[in-house]
Amino acid sequence: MKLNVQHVTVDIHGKRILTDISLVATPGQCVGIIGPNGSGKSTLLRSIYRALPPTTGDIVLDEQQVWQMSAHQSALYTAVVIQETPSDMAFTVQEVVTLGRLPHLGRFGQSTSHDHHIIGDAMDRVDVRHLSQRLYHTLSGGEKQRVLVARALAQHPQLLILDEPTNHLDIQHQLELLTLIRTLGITTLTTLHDLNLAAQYCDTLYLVYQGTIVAAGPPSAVLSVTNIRQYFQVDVDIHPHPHTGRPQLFFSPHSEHIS
Amino acid sequence: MQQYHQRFWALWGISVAILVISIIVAVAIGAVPLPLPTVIDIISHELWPSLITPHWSMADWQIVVQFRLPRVLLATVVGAALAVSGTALQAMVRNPLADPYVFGISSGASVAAVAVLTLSTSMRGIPVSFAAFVGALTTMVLVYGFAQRHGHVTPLRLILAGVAVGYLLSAVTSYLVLRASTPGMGATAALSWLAGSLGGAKWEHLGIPTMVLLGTTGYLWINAPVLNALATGEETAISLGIDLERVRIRLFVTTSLLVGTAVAVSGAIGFVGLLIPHMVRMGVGADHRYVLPLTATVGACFLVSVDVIGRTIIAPQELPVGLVTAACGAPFFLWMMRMQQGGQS
Repeated sequence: MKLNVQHVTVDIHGKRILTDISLVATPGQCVGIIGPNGSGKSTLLRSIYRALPPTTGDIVLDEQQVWQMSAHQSALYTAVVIQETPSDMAFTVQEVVTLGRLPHLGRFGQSTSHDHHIIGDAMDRVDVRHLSQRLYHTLSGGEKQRVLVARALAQHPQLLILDEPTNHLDIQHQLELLTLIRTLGITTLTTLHDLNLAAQYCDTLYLVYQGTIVAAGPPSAVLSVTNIRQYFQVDVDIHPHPHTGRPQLFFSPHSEHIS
Repeated sequence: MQQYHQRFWALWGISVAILVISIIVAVAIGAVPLPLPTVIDIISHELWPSLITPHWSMADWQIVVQFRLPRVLLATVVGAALAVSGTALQAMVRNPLADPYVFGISSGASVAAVAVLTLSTSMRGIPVSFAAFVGALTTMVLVYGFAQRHGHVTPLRLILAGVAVGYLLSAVTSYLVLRASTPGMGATAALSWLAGSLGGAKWEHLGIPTMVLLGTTGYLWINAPVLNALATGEETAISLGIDLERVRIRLFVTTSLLVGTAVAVSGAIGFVGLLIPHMVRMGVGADHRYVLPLTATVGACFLVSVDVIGRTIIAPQELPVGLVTAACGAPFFLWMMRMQQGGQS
């Protein structure tokens, strides 16, 4: 499914958060959104998964305007992986993954054996089936994140949105999670703090700075010494990764800030 | 879930059995104790007249059918209603401490009921239960209105608005009671209403609450997956296709109706809505498909038992049921909380 964000501007309580954002994700692509803290990355995602309406501009999935769909219609196409503040409700892993079937349930909320099959399949794909009876809030960060991906997969989305999916994960789980997402073949839009991971795993990067897109393109173009220096305030040396050839960044603090 | 699934059916079966036994025992216990077989025979005869030929005295029949059974069944309905509404409210605001009190609903019902009981005689024509119902619903509309900003309602604002409105209304209630403290002005009636009471229950009081209970619980049960999503988080709920504002209003109206009805027929009974959902979640987890039916039966068992304690412990006088729920509920709740923390750490 193709995502097309056209000239989106978002104001929150009269304050402009995003200005004239345009972005495209073609089917099967993994698109990364990078930028310093507070640049508006999460806000952009929220307006795409229908949590925050844009003030102006269009968000289009294939031919359909997201904000003209119902919340339910949108959920049939788009699944989201975000870490919310946990509630005290003790759901099991299987119950969390089952939530992904919500948009597909019948009128009276009944689930079928077809749903159960999909739920089991989703848990298998991210290797959490052995955790299915565990309580979600007792899992480690990496396990939690995988469970949320399983929930998103159970939703059978055509667009997958992730907000900082590698937060709180150790390096092994960071790589596993992003590799997994790459193998899904679903159009993916993710924010990432780690620029090296973004360089390794994304086809296209959008660099957001103070609510506008200041650079877009393949990682090798976006992750330039000048861009990093200008928008992240750090010095960087960039070398190709010995195995993948993708840009690899070596940071040093900005000289102006040291002196 | 498989494990919780089996556990749910086991627990639900047990709780239904306990409820039936509690109802029979509660009917047998009282100023005139009746033998259990007689109670069972009378109730069976009422349900299916051809089953048993009457062998009991008219007085026994009257005690069972006209006095005790309506009261015990009212306790069943009110206990279930309060527990179910607590469950739904807790899921809606993702806060396990939410109950009808936190939202000011009970306070709203109290103000209206006390006003009718203590203010000028011109208002005495209004049935107290009707006033309490209107008071509860009006308060919920008020609280929802205050919690709203730019068409958005957040759980935190809902709780804050509920607590603030609740305090204000409690103050008004206290003032009304104090004002009516001269004999004959209704202070005693008001205080006993505030403490919660199931006394004076009649068959004709049961129909509407039972229908409201079945209707709203059924609606909530159909929406159990939605409650699950709400309990998980707002953004998650949206991404799962829930129209947050619309769903919240629907659930809020449903629970208001349920709470309003329960409070109208029984006065302000606390702790059931807070305590029972917790207990149930400890047994079957958080999935509302299991939690809702089980809270209904456990809440009913709890209030039936508590009412028996209330009317026997200082017989021939009665302890208001609201006091007994607090006196039994609070220590139990604290014990449970400590147990749970111990288990987690």
